[in-house]
Amino acid sequence: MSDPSAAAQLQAKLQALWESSKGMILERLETLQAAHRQLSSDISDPHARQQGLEAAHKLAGILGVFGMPEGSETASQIEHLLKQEQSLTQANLKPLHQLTEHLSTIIKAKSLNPNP
Amino acid sequence: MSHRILIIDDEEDIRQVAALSLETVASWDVIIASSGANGILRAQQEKPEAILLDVMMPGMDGPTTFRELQKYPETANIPVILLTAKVQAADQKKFADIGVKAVLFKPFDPLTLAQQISDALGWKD
Repeated sequence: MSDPSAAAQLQAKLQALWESSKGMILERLETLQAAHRQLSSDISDPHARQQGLEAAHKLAGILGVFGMPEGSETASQIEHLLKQEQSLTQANLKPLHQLTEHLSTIIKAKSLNPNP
Repeated sequence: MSHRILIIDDEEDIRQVAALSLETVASWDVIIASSGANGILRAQQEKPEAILLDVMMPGMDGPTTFRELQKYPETANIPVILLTAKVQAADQKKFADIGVKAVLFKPFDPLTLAQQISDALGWKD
C-alpha cells in the first residue's frame, strides 16, 4: 500500500474532488455563518443552533481530508460549543464568532489556492 | 490482495474520498451506500468482507444500523468499523462495547485509510 505512484494518483484525484466539492463546502460555511448571525439576534433559536451544529459537524469531518487539519479542528470546536447540553450564553457567542471567522479564513484561503 | 468493502455514509464527499482512497491506494473493490437502510440491503446483496459505517446519519444512525446487521445471518459476521468525528472520541469505548471491530476518526488520512482498516481487521497485506 506504499506505492509512490498510487500516492501521486491519489493526490491528483483528491485535487479534482476538491474542485468539485468546494462549492458544497462553501455552502456549509454559509449555513454556519447564517446560524451564527441568527443566534446573535436570538440566542435561544433551536433551529439555528441545530443547523449550525450539523454544518460544523460535516466540516469537521471533511476539511482535514482536503489538507485543512486546522479547519477540521476549528469546526470541531464550534461543534462542541453548539452541542453542549446547556443553553448558549452571550459569553459563548464571542468564541463562536471568533471560531467561525477563523474557519471562514481557512476555507476561503484554500478555495482560492489552486494547489493541494 | 484485493478486498471488498462497503462504505455507509450519508455525506457524499466522505463517501467519494474514502472510495477514491481505497481504490487508488489499495486497489480494493468498494461498494457505497448513502443510508443505514440502503447499507443493510447492499450488505445482504453484495456480502462485502468488511463495512465502514458512519456513526452520525439521519434516520438510522451507525449503531442502529450495526444492530440491524447483527439480526441477519448473512450479515451478522461481517466485521464493522465505525467512522466518527473526533468530538465523539469519548464514546469510543461505548462503540467498542456493542461489538464493532474498531472505531476510526474523521478526518482520516486518505493515504493511510486502507492500512488503518487492514490493521484493525488483522489483514496481513
